[in-house]
Amino acid sequence: MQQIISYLLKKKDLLLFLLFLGISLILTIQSHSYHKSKFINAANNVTGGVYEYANHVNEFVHLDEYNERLLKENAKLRQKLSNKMFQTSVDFPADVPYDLIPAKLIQNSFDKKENILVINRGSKHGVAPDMGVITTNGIIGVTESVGENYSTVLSILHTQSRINAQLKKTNHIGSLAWNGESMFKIQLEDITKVAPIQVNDTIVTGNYSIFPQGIDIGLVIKADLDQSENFYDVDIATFNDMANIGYVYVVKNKAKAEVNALLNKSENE
Amino acid sequence: MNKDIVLRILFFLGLILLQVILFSKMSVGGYVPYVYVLFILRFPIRFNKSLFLFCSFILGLSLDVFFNSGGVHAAACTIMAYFRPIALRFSFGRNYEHQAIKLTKVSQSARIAYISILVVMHHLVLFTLETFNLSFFLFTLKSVLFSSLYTIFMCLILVALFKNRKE
Repeated sequence: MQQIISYLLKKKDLLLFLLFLGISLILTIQSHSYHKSKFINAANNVTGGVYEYANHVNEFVHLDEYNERLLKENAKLRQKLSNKMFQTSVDFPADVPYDLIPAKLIQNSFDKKENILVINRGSKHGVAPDMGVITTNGIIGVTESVGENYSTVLSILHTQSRINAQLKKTNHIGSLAWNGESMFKIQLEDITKVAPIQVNDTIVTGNYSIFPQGIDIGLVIKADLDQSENFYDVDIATFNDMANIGYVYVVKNKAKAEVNALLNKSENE
Repeated sequence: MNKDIVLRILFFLGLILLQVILFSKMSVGGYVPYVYVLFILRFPIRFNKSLFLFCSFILGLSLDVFFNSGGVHAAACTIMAYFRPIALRFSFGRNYEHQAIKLTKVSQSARIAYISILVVMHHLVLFTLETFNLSFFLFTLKSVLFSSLYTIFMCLILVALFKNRKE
């Protein structure tokens, strides 16, 4: 017994090394296999606080640009408003079941294969997992872990991100994914070959997604048939500059709970 | 002795903050310098090895929390700390343990060798675990190469800065 203990004591560095390595490998594998089960994430108050503080400086530099963006958005909204006032026949859904929660991106990331962002709104402000995050220009990602005051966002620049998308002009649906090669090129999969897709077509979010239908995503820059000649390989340039995002909106689907309840009910039957 | 420990803890916290706030934003062509490894590079040689391993692990884990990266930094730091004696032996000779080695006082070539070996080791583990996909192997190697060069460059500059202040 004594020999075993003295042997273990002699090898304690190696054992410690293996222990630490084991822990970190488990955490790594966990984060890769199912990204939502992560219990170490930046949606906590310590890291969120540091990012928020650091962001104050960064924000100051981009103030002009944000101002300009807000002005543009104002103009757009004003135009919509006047359209609505004068054309009562416009076919706009009467009660859109979506709420927008304004938030600020306090930690951006775009140079990895799996990019996770941090915003300064959490459960206290009504954010929950699996909500869409958009800007005036288009979509950014989907909320992942939600803390009290901060949340992490799974960026569209994440190899595991899948978002329902469609062609703006013909409603052919596909799935938005990223192959991790370039932050300027996002891929659209499963567009059938019958779709009349061309370069410079606009891609928007589809019907069956956590985003409202018709939110801008980007422009087609390349559309070739794949090897089997059944689907298109499409590359998209996003409208958003993913390196410079600033302020965002979290899209809260008010009908989601009801729809989920209905789905569960019909599954159980 | 006490003052030394307090200074080292401040160095530890300061490096984490600087890495998160400053160095991570200094990306050149998408490559970021991971300068926080300076803590492991500058850790005293004749010190409790278990404690050294523990400190390195916690350092990596703290950065993982900030970067949302699971445990990749923790793994890289642990491996780097455990295999540091190899780099020491290679750069400063077999009996490095009996000399009082300071990074600011050794020859330039030994310093570059020591920093390079450990940084490349760290980055290799880091990027392999981060991509976690062998089909991106060439991409990973490219990232390791450029990011390492950047990190080594930054570390050398910072070591030189410390030197100027002390003399």
